[in-house]
Amino acid sequence: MTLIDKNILIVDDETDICSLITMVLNLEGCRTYSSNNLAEARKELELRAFDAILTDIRLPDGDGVEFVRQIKQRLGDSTPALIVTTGFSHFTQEEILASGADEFVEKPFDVDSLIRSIKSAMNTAMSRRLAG
Amino acid sequence: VESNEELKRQIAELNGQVKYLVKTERRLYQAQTELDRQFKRVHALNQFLLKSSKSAALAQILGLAVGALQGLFALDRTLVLLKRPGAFVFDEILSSRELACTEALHELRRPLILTGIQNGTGAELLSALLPLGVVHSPHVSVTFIPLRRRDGELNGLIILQSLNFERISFHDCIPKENDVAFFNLFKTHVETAIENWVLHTQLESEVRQRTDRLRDTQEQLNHAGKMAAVGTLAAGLAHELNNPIAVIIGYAQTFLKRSSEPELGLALAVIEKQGKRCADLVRALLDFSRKAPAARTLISVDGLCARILELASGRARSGGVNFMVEMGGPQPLPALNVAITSIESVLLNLVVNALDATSAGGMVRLKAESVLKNGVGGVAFAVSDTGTGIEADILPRIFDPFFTTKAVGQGTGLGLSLAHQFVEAHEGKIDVESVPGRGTTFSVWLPATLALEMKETAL
Repeated sequence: MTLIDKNILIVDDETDICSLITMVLNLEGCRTYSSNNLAEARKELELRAFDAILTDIRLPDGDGVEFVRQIKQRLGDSTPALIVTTGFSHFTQEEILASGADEFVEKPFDVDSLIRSIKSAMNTAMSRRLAG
Repeated sequence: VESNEELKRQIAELNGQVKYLVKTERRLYQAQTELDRQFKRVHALNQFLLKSSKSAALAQILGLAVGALQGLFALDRTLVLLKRPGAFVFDEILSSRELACTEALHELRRPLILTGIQNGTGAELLSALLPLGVVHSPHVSVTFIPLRRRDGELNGLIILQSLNFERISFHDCIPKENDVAFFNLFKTHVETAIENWVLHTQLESEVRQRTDRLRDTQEQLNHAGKMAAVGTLAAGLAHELNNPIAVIIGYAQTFLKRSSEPELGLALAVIEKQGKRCADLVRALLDFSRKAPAARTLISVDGLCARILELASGRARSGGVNFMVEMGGPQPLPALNVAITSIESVLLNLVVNALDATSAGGMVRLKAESVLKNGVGGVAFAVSDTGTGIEADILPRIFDPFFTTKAVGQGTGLGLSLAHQFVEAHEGKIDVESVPGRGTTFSVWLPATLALEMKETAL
């Protein structure tokens, strides 16, 4: 699977993290949209369809785990969602995956493994769509 | 004639009265002497009781006993013998001489005074003392005072020797048959004094042990306090650091892939490497502060050691150090119910430290054997090296967080601290012994069965 021409939403309150992921994904040929909070992210979701969503957990106006749960409820299981966060949060890895998130990427991450995780999440979502 | 007769009668009567007076006077004098002697003895007993109760040493108590007897009797030699516990031998307390305990000596219950040539048991007892130079002749008096514990066990023996022919004038002061009652009383007092001393010593050592244990607990509490403080600090810090580190590593990796300039590539590689070093440090900090108990799994010690060998042998090879694993002991090794990653990191940490401390040609050994500790079965691991050793003054600090002797950038200073924490969480024990210049041995003991949940050691 390639990432060329995919629409990807990045949600992180650290603008430098957004810029980094934007650059990494642009180099892979993606179109990226970044938001620094959940309100902005929800607006983006109304404007267009996304092939993958990457979100941090600790955000100024809510938490990313709950956000993923809502997305999965509203948009269905077919949209791949990844949690990209630091190793320290009050959620366990099990709780994070229970929200419906397809992948969990720990910060700091290797650029290559971030790309691999996005591809893998999209593959999982794709196979779910074919099966379902 | 009549008056003459009368006079004679009166003289005879007077004579009789004088004789009576003289006799009475002599009796009075004897009574006086006896009273005097008895008074001296009571005084000596009292003095002994008073002084011995203030004595801290057994030798001092026995010295006081002998001193009291020397004040009362004309004695040429005094010997104090203590029976060696569990052996049929006496030790003379003032010299290094020893005396074999004979059956006759061992059976002695009451004080015994032997004067002159003896037959039978008396002769046997006297000849037993020959090795100590106690001779017997018609003019010698020897007194035996056996000392026994309350349960009847023989403790010791006091021997008094008087050469009476040289001291006719002190004849009264030489121990005689009728002094046995006094010696018996004296014996009881000495036995009581010894008994009190033993109790006192036991009490003192118990107090000392308790004080030591309290101090240990205090030290452990201090350590736990430090760990907790570091844990809290680390958790907060780690979150703040991971984002900037992610940005640094991410950009370095991204541009490293597309850089065609060798110098820029080198710089980016260094940035990436240093960023990862920060990431490792943060991960160690997070491990340190992690509250959640790790899941326990049943593992075999062989498997664990094989894994350590696999992980560390590369490092050993590059340092030229001989690294070997020994599965020792006659007992089969029990399985361990542990958080694998924790225990693996404990042993790996100790082995890597040992390899770092050992120069090429040296040896690092990981040994595992089944060891019972306080009645609990478990596995004792020992990691020993032939390295530089640890100086005594820093030994107490090596388990402290952030304490490191490695060069800047070589160690986080958290390895041993974490090892300590992990082992404690498994109800185990970690210890270190080191001889500077000769090498260090770390020992880790882990119980084989664990009923308790992993303890939350950090806040």
